[in-house]
Amino acid sequence: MRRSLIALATLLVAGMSTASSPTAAPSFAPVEQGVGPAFASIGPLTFAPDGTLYAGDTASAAIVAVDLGAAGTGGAEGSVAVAGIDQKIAALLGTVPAEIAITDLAVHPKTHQSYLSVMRGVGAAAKPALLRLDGKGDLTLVATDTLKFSKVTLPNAPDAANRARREAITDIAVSNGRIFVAGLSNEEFASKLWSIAYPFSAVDRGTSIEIFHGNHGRLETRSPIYSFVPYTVDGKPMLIAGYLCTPLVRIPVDALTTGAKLLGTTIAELGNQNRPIDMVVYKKDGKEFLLMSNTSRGVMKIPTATFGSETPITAPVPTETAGVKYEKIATLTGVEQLDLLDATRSIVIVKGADGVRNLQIVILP
Amino acid sequence: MHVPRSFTAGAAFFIAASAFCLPACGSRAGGPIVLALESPERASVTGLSSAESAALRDANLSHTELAQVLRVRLPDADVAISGRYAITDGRIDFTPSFPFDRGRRYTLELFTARLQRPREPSVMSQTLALPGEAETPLTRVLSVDPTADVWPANILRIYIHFSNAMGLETGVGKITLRDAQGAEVAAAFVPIEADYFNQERTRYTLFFDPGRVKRGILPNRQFGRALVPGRRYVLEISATWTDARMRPLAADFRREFQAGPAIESPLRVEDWQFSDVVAGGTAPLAVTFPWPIDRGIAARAFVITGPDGRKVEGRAEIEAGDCRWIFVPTSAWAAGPHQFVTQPALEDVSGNQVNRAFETAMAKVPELPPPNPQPRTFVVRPSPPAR
Repeated sequence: MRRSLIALATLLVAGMSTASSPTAAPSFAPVEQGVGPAFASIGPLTFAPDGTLYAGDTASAAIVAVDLGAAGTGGAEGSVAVAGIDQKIAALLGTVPAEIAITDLAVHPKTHQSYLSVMRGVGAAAKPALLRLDGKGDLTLVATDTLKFSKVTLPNAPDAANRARREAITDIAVSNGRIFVAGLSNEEFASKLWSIAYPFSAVDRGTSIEIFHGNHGRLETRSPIYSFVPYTVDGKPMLIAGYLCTPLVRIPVDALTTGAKLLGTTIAELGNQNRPIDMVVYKKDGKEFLLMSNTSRGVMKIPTATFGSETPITAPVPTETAGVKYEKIATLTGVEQLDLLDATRSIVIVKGADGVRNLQIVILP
Repeated sequence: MHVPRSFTAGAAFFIAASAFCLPACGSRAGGPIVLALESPERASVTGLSSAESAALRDANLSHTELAQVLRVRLPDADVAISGRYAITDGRIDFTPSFPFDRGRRYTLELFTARLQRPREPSVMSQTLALPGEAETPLTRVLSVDPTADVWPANILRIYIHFSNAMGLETGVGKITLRDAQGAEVAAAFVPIEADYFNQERTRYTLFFDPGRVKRGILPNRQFGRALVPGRRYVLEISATWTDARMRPLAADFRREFQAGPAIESPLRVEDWQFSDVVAGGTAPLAVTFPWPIDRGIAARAFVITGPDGRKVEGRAEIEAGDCRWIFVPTSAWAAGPHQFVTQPALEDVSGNQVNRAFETAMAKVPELPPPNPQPRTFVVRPSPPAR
């Protein structure tokens, strides 16, 4: 489901409350529809329940909705573990592992096949690739040139005259007919969150939300979101968002499209020198958990039961962690990509001590 | 030698001998089989007879089956490279999904037992490479922004410029901050492996750890900011950082600077000094800021409109330690009021925006103005009458 990112800026948010307000006049580009999406790059992936694939194209600052067609129905159902997944992908693309970047992993909700976004090559010549792994272990390059798509470009997208700036898409999620997109830039320190109705239309052209963060309730400090999941708390739709160094923030989203001013709440401090990579929500033994992978603090299993009632963190935190308690999953290390495979298993890409990346199927903890 | 399993398991689809065996008029009889890497877009097998290629074509083989006739792979991999096949008179062409890399070795295997007329050996194999790209000088660090000698103690980011495209490695572990005694200032930067390059991968954005920059956050309270006003520092960039051709940099790079007081105030357009501009010429306009602005954002942050409301085209540069924006119009200045419009993205190197400091009292957040473009009027004087 998203979210290792190939790009950009971040700022720390420490424990605090947050406030969000829609900015004036979002300027989403007109919707483009057709066959054969022309990706300039490919990063975060996520699926809608109907199997529509949403892919973030950082280089174009665009979200592309792809109807996978036959690619979404062929092959053996399911996914299997693949040792040396980076080596196999590189070989399929005619290069070596050092010259590819696996930018995301997402599981098809119906076939449970795994889709991987990959950049092949380095430098300005790097090319995007979408691959599918099926239940027999067959890894194939998805031919996107025959697929139907619709595409929307985010506001303030980099243009040809400003190639130094990049607007990285850090995460995408689908909830209740809307696409939520988080992004950040390699220049300005602005937090970016967009909400777009799907199917994309010229009528609802989306909402840009500027997010503020109070530093322990005292100071506003802008910061982008790295990873988030839609989550319902007491019947109200929320985003549970993770930032660098690593507050967990609850943001109500029911008003994002109405223009109302919002208040978010920090419900956990999960440690500094770290950022979240991926988040998934699952149930086990009748309880619900958030599983969150991180760059330097491993994989955390976080009970969601108190997400709605947790006391907001509004004062300086004297310890590295505070708020909602979590369990570190010691058996999962080096996780670079994470998604749910089904109700009981997750699928991960793990980088081993030897530098080789393995795709593994793991029972949910 | 790597032979496809389905092939060794049995002849799943030998191309049956048929009426095609007799070469038709004008058809080729076939000659020596040649495996070639012709270009980044094409590998080929030539020397088949017309009957052989026609039989292959008429068999309507799937992609998987064709990969069991001609397989192209990396020498040490057992995976066929993704691509498309085309069969024409006497030849098989393979177009990879991604162009072959110059200088990289590829193995072409023709499983001759699959042909209408099996040959010896049963697998013809060649490992080939396209000529490598011409050697270019090693990549080096060209410069580091800010260009000023004094950096505010709460600086958030700097830009590192390279002479060529860099590879996939991030700057983590490649950049070291040292104090005047040569001791490393630990944990100064964001330790996150992320791609902070521009599109061409010739500029890298390095972020100081905001947990130490921002007041009141635990790392700030524990360790303070990485930079102490008045002290001198050296930014070191290791030559072990590799470029897009997997080569180390030409040399280590050092940049000395001094830390100055933190800048915790918003930018204000009314504080900026505008030089005197006279109509009728193309003399530069100079806009001077009280402290350095971000060079990266400044390149796209300003627009000038003339008395007629139209954008004034021209060329801009940042100089004077990033404290002065110089604009030379393409056409002569028109007399009258002009609008100098600052886009809301503009920040100084500490993240302060126009009318919005990077850190603002939470109680003041509701009063923050929306991030709209900020206009400031300046007047171009009429040119004096000729004497």
